[in-house]
Amino acid sequence: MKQSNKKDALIFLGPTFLTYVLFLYIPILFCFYLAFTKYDIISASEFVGLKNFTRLFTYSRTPKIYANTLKLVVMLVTMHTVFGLFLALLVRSLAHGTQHVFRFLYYFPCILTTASVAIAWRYIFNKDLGIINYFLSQVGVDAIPWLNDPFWVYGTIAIFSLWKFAGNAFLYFYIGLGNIPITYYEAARIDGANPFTVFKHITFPLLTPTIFFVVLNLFIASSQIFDEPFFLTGGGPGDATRTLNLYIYETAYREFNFGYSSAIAISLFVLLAVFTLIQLNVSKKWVNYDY
Amino acid sequence: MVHNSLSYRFKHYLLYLALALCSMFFLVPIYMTVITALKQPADINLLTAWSVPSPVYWKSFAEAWVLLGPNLKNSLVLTFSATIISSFVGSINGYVFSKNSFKSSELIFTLILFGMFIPYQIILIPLFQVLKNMGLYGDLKGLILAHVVYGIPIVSLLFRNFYDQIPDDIMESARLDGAGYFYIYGKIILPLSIPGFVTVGIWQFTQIWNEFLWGITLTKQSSNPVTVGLSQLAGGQAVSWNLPMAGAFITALPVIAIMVFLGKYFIRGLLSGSVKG
Repeated sequence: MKQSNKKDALIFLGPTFLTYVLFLYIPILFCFYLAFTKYDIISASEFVGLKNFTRLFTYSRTPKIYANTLKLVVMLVTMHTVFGLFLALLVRSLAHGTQHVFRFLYYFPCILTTASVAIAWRYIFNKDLGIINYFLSQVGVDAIPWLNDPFWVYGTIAIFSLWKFAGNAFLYFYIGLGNIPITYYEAARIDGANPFTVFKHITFPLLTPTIFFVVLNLFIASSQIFDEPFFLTGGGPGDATRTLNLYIYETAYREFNFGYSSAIAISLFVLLAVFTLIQLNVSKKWVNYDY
Repeated sequence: MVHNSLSYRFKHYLLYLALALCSMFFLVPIYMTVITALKQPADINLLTAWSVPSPVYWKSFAEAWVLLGPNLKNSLVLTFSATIISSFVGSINGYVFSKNSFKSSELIFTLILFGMFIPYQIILIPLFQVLKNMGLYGDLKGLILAHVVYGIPIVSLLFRNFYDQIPDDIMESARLDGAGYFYIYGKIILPLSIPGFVTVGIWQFTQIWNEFLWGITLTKQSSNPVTVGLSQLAGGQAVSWNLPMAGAFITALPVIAIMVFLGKYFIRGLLSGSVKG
């Protein structure tokens, strides 16, 4: 690379990178600072030491909110991975032309406006008017309080989340399956292997890089889950579906307690970083990159 | 292969049954939205929840259109400006990262990608503060800026992967002819970038159009985007479901239209370039 090109390239990168630093890295540092202050926008920030963090670790509501987030992460990462892979295997077993139709259909909800589809689903999940309970009543099952029961709201969030976002995992798996050399399958067919053996010894091992990529992405996205509880349950009933991100939002923009809110945000950030590093390390043991 | 054996046919039916069930799962909520939006309030009840509206009642759409009008205008201005700016930023960055990478540009790329892993909320509070200090809080300018800045990682990544597929030789011959850096970008790379702009443009358009949280925190009411307007329309003590459903449909219409007309190119673009590093 010639020196002059390097200078030209930096002219290209410079302005965007500077705005990026100004609006991303500086706000992050500012967030770390705010976490040690008491701040409500109106009056000047006041240094309070570790008070926000001690509140975070002692306040009776917080364990429940961390547990909710963890519960949703485990639930959603598993369900999206399994359902996404299932959809991809289904679509890949079709003829090429037909694949396009289903590929489009299954991905479609991913691009839809969450604020819009949440309204549709609130209607579908409605206890008295919703069609799910209508069908359940036809087979003699009592109406389920989908939006007002601490147990069933998790089912509600899972169904909504799968409907809205499973297309992402599906598309990644669809791509991953397409990257497996067809010669492996031909060899297996000649050997007369049954579909389960083929999946266990060819598809799964060769798909591990995609599985890891999907799981990591899902982990990062679902640990920051906000839309589903915000639009469907508002965190309720009680604190049943209040997640960390929802709590951060509420402490900042409803209670104007920016210092405490920043402290929670930092705890989420640290947890996320630690878990991501662990996953990156563990992945070396099960992800198969050489084929 | 014995294609007519019983077990083969059975598997075949099972496959199509599974495909049909999944398709129904994805389509039913869309169907429910459309038919409920077209019903008279009095016609919305459990027993006929499924059935097609008769007579078709368009009034909710007119009503929602009036209520969401100002928000729709805000969203259009916001989405078009932010998408266009963001796509060009992505193209410029992607060009450097793909075709002219050197040590410090690799570092910059890593620092930019790092932004994808930072929780939204961690920067929401200080960003609000920064925009306020710069006098950009409240109207669309600040929101446009926010979307452009936080779009940088994904647009740079998508464009880098896109440019990786363009062979370097094309630039090499121009360089031998004495063409300069910016000339090569403007005259050779940019005209080849249309498929990249389609993918990145659709991605950013849908992301920005659908976004809610920044819309509600970084703008004053007069500048609220349509997602915020919709949540207010649906959040009040709505008497019936027809109006929120019509509002929901109107709100989602631009992204539906884009997906229906350009979705083919969009998915193809994602398939060819999104999963690489």
